[in-house]
Amino acid sequence: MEKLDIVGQSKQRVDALVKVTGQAKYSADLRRPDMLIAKALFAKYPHAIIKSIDVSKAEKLDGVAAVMTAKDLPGRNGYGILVPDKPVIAERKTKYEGDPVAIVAAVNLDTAEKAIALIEVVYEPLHAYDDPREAMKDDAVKIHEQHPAAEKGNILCVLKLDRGDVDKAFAEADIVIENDYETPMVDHAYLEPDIAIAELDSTTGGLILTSAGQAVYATKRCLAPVFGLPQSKVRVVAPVIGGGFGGKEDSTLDVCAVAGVLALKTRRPVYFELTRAEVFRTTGKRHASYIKHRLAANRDGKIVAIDVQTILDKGAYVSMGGTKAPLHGVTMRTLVYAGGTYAIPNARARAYSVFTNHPYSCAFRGFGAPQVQFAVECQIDELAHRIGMDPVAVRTLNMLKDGDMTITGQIMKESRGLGLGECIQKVTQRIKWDQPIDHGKGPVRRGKGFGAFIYGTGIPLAFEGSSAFANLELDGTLNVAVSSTEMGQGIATTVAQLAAQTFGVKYESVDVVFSDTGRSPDSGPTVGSRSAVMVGNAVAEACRQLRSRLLEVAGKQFFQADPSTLTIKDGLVYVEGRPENAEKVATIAARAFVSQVPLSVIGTWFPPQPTFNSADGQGEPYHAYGFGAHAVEIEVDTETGVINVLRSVLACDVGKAINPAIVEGQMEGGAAQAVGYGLMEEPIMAAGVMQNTGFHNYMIPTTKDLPDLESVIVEHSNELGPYGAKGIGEPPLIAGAPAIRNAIYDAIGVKINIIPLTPRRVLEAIRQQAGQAR
Amino acid sequence: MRPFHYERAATPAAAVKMAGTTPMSPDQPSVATPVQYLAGGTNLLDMMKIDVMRPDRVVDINAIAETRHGGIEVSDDGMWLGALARMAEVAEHADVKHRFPVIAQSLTLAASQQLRNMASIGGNVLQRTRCPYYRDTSYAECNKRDPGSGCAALGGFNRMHAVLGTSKACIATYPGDFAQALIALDARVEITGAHGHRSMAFAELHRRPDDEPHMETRLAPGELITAFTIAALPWARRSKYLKIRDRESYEFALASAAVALDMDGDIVREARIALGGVATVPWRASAAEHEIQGKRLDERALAAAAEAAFADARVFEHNAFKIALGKRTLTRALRETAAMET
Repeated sequence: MEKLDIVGQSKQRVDALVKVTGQAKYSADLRRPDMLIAKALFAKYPHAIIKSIDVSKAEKLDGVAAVMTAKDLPGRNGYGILVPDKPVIAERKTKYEGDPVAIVAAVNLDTAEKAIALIEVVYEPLHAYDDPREAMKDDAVKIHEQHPAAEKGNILCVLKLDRGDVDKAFAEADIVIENDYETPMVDHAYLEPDIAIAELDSTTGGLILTSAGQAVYATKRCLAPVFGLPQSKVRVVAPVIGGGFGGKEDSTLDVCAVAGVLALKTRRPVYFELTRAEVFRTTGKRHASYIKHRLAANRDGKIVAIDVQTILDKGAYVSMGGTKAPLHGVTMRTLVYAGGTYAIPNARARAYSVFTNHPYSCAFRGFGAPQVQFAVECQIDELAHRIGMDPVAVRTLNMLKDGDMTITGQIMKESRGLGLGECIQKVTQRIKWDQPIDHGKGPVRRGKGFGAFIYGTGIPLAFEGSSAFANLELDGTLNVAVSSTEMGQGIATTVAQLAAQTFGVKYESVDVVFSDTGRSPDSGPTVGSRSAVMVGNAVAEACRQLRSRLLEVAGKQFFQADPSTLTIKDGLVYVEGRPENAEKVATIAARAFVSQVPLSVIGTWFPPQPTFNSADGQGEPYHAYGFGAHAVEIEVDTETGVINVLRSVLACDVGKAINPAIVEGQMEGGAAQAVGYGLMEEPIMAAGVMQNTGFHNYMIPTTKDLPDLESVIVEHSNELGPYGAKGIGEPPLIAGAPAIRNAIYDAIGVKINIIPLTPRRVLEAIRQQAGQAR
Repeated sequence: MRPFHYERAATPAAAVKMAGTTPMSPDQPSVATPVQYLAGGTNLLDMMKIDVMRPDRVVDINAIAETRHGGIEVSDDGMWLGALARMAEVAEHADVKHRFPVIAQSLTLAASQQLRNMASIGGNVLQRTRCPYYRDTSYAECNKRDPGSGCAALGGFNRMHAVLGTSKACIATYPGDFAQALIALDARVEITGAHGHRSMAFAELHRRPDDEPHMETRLAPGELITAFTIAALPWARRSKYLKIRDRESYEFALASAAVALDMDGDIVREARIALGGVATVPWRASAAEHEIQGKRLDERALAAAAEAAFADARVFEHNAFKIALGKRTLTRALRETAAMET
């Protein structure tokens, strides 16, 4: 086994110094000569017919360069990563608050805002739908009069998973647990609002878009038809990003589309930035869910079947929600994870994705898993209480082990990393699960709660895979280029460590270029907890090729030795075991250069092709899965309903922590976001109008709401991951909310199946339970 | 943000004189006053950015902090707080914490450290309501912003809104914490204006909305708060601020209580109670005080105080929970204050 001296180390992040010294340039720091400022007039009514638009006054305003409505667009008035159903500018109808009705470019922001205020629109408001259960009824008004993918009315799609004989299993089971669960729509609450700068590309005559986005290639492909340009003439660049969490896979399209069409119209650079209130009102959210979860088990605690119905609030557009074809999306994930991380022989799951007049629901850390696994993890506790078994013991009894089959029919393999057992063990030890807790006697009670999760690495699409570029410079330094974006998660650092370790130069000798379609091949989007594995493997493959080319030259022209006896370490090449007779990589690179040996390489990596049968939800959607366990200790104030999280212990099986500090950063961030998801984050919608559109009334946790977040890294190697790695970006969020909910039950014996668990909801539940007891 | 004229004043007299050069009507909504004083700016700039306040002139009074009016003076007779003292300075002052704990606590539990470092205590008591319909100019209905236009909160999402002191015209909650502490300690406020100095009981400063919610305080246009005075009353030391909210920092109260007690053994000799998060103005709960004065603070007295405090409460669609929560907050605050070691 190769000795690792770079991979596995908490190397200082490649972007640390420029960020802490303020030198890093975010999109909002950038200016272009002669740049115009754009503003959009967003829909006054979330659901309305547009009767007329009069832009004449705005056009006459001094300093206005362009006013555009739908009829002025250069190309297709529709885009979307999966289905091009979201208009750049609404034409006949508005479907949510974030539909632009007209857009403006002007010499400065003040003029642009004045121009927007001068546009006169006449609407005929329609009933706006907040609840998918209402919108899916037969007599509901169709939000999309014609939609290219919708199945029926406002139902975008109904997806199915069927395995075994569910009805028989339920009929024969000792115990059936049936509950309804609800999880909220949530804003990503990234610090950096959405921004795009569009400018003409003087070389190609096309467009360059600079925007805080998570998927530069996808942005290019989605928007080229909007601009009426071939994909080759659209270049997309993402500078460093102030957080994305999945949201900036889509929202970047919204701002790039507006800035792009205005730049084409005015032939000048255009800057478009959303205000915070606009980010809240117009950009994507997590899919809210309404879940009916039935679980059948035997008295010994063994789960025999599940029957799950999930209704998702799709919002106004498909976004990353998924359809029957293409299948990829959040809806399909609610099937895959409907049984959580447990071996369940019989399963039926139905997932309904339903249009409403809410912001489009999109990707958000966990991508469907936090919703259904909230239900699953509550159900497991319910089962444990019913049969008088310890909740952790029920999990250990049922968890997926080597050779077990998931509800999609995939066989789990230890060779791909199955570390849940170890995660459970480490977490229970650390939180002293087996020791009784003092629940307290006064109004403030204490409790402990547990949750576990499974999460696939990557995206279950036929084309999942990555390309990366590596170029050995003649001074012995190494340039690597990937199209992944750096949004604080640390991919540039991870890639640099993988390259340095695989090729054999010092970590400091590697520089990484990221997220520029003009400078890197397609590494895929920065989503799905995929980059360390998919992109990492492509980078490692490129570095392996470069290394073998260099060793070939070194063996022939320097050492007169078989290349397989040579090694490269810290930028020096030598015969294994004889570092005293070393040549510098730079010396050999210079020789290779004049010997017609190519020093530029594109590495690629594709996982075993993902499969998923749309008829029955069976297949192998991911090559590997990450696992984890999360325990919390909480305090419930029964007089005020306030919940205080006292301890949070999270263990994640990450395969291999390439940079442990970065992995811990992901785990702490996920655990913090889980407290927000579980306790406070919730858009308040009234007939499609968001009521809390600032951080003063849209609550996210502060450091004072968080305990010391304890993270435990578990490493069960994935034979296909770089150095054994699996994805860790999203998983840490998943099990926190159910752990908190389960802890409340432990503390006060009250079950609440709706999150967030706000003081008001907790008090209401206590009151109801007291009423029932009487 | 709209353009405005910016000036600086180094003394209260200079500030008042500067402001006085613009004629101002006493009937104007307080948000519409054309001259505004700028101290920490943590509320004013916010309100200007969201276009609710649109002053023609902004008089920067931060230089006054260099005078006595930026200081804190504690003596055996009591305390004098300059209006330009920053929230953090008062909250962290050792004598304030020890001798007037409710003052320090109310400030520490407000806003965030960054805001407390900037915000003046004079500006703090005047901070505007967080009613989202007041703060969002796309809602045409707001009697506070535009007298006679109506109240969007009445039929809106009014979970954060008041249950005490409301009117048909306005149900917006007074958002602050410090004001309740001032009421609990019978503070007075010192004011300077074109017609000279005056002072009044702090509890008189804010006006209930009634049918004129746009008139928020009894300050005349151009008047400036210069200081707060608090006598060394027997109940100052045994005082406490309890705040219940959706998260632990940077969030307004769902319910809060400022309590000060003068105890004779386990008998309440004198009590002061002010409630926050539940009322349209900093709310002195006199009826509740009356219920416990001269009595032993047992469960019956606590319950009677809580009942009395909310006897006149009126709930709206989403905020009925505030009555139960407000009562529990008050009883807990009373219990904990009585148990304080002084």
